[in-house]
Amino acid sequence: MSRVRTPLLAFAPIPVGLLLLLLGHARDPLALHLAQSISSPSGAMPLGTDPLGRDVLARLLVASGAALIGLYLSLGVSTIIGVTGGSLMGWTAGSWFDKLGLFVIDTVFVIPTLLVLLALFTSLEPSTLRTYLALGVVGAAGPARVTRNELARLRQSPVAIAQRALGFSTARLLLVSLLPLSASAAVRSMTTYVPELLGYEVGLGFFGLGTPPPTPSLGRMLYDGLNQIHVAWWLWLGPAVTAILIGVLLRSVLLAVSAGDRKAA
Amino acid sequence: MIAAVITATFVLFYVLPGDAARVALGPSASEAAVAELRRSMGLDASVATRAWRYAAGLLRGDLGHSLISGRGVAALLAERFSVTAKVAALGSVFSLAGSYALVLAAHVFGWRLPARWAQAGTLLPSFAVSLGVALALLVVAPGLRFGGSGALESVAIPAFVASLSATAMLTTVLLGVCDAIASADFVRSLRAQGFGRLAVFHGGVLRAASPSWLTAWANQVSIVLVGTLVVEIAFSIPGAGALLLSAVEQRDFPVVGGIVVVNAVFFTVLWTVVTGVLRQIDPRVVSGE
Repeated sequence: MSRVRTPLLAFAPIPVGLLLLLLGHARDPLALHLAQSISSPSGAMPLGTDPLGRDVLARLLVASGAALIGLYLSLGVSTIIGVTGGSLMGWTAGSWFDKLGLFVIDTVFVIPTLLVLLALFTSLEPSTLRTYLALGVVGAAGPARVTRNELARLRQSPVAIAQRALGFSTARLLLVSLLPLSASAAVRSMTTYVPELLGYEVGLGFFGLGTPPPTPSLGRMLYDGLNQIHVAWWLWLGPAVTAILIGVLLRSVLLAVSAGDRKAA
Repeated sequence: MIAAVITATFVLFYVLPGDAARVALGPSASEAAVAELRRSMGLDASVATRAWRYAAGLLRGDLGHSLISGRGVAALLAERFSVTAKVAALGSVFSLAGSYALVLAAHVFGWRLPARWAQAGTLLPSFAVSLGVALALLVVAPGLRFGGSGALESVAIPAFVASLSATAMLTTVLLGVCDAIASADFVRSLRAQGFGRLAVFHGGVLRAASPSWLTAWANQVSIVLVGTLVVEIAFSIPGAGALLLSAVEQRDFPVVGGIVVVNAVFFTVLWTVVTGVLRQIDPRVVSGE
């Protein structure tokens, strides 16, 4: 069995996110300067200030660092739930468990997921941890479906038949032979859903249900920017550009991981 | 699926919140006021009784009453969604038409640049695309506050903005399938029989690709809807987006729950219809395959 080599880029979001958080907190994202409410970018405040006179650059750094780390961990949760659930579904393809799983996955894809998340956090008290945990659970639908289909196919493959004939246990067959073969497809499928997960994060914040204030979040910064759109361009431009950059970075990370997997397999 | 979502909504809004009345009135409300609201919400009854009342109400089309305005949720939703549904429906049509035009240009006429841009567009979160384009339009044209006038452009412009992400995704899916089957035997034999490029595309390639296209479209309608809600907020259109925003801010559980239930019913029906149509187009299509 060849060693799965994961490229360094795969771990990049954690140090990058921590660095952003550190830089942001060094500038103090919460300090109020009510005298300088909504002032345009200057030397001391490179991205200007918001209606409460807080430093937009500091808030942007903290919000993007948190989003980067949070979404990266959400993707981890999605992988664990998706691959575990999907492989059980694929292994028992056609069973009631498989049917129930497919039903849940279909529901997630068809119903506007952001609405469901909004409903969830209207009822439960929003928190940062709960936000990313919920995103991780919702994001599991994609990898679960791919893993399920891959395993349902691989179960009948010559590899599986040969190994069963050799007397290998089901656990060994599943964990050592078949899962690595389907992992790359599962990770690649997540590259499609990363933008949507980021969209849910921004959407929850936009509706005021993501990370609770006063801690900054990209979505809430965009909402505040929308309310001042004809007054202050610096309030919405930064968060909008940053959201796009985070999406691109997370996607490249996933592409690098799945490419590394394919080379090893 | 509908039953599952309704049950989940009931648990979420009527059982889980430790004390919905307390949450709705805030921590500073008096104990008497909370008890009064609890009684008027029927929260003093047992869970089973409340579940029965809720289900019976749903069957009568009664979604409960807003905690804030006291109006019936069903009437409130009907009023707001009549605006939103128009925009979202037009947006869904735009996404079909747009992806058709882009794929026609790319696949038949070899003009691939717009389709490439659309493919790049799928890298961005749909929520951010709708919001970003709306913001950009507002900056360029500060007068774009429609206020629900009902004029054509007050429906068409928001619908266009809300449809962009879905158009990008549908273009990517459709072009991928079309390119993959472009060298299939039946396509080559149609060509060899002397059919023109347009005829081959419409009579052969597009038909063969339509199941994937339609499935992707059914999944994208919900994206268009969420985009519509956001664009409505940006353009100050008094539709379901504004209703959702205020209901969420005020923790108006019956309204948020009503919005979720209505959407769950709508999208389940849509999905059932699309699956039925898919079976008509291609009898081999079975869900999950």
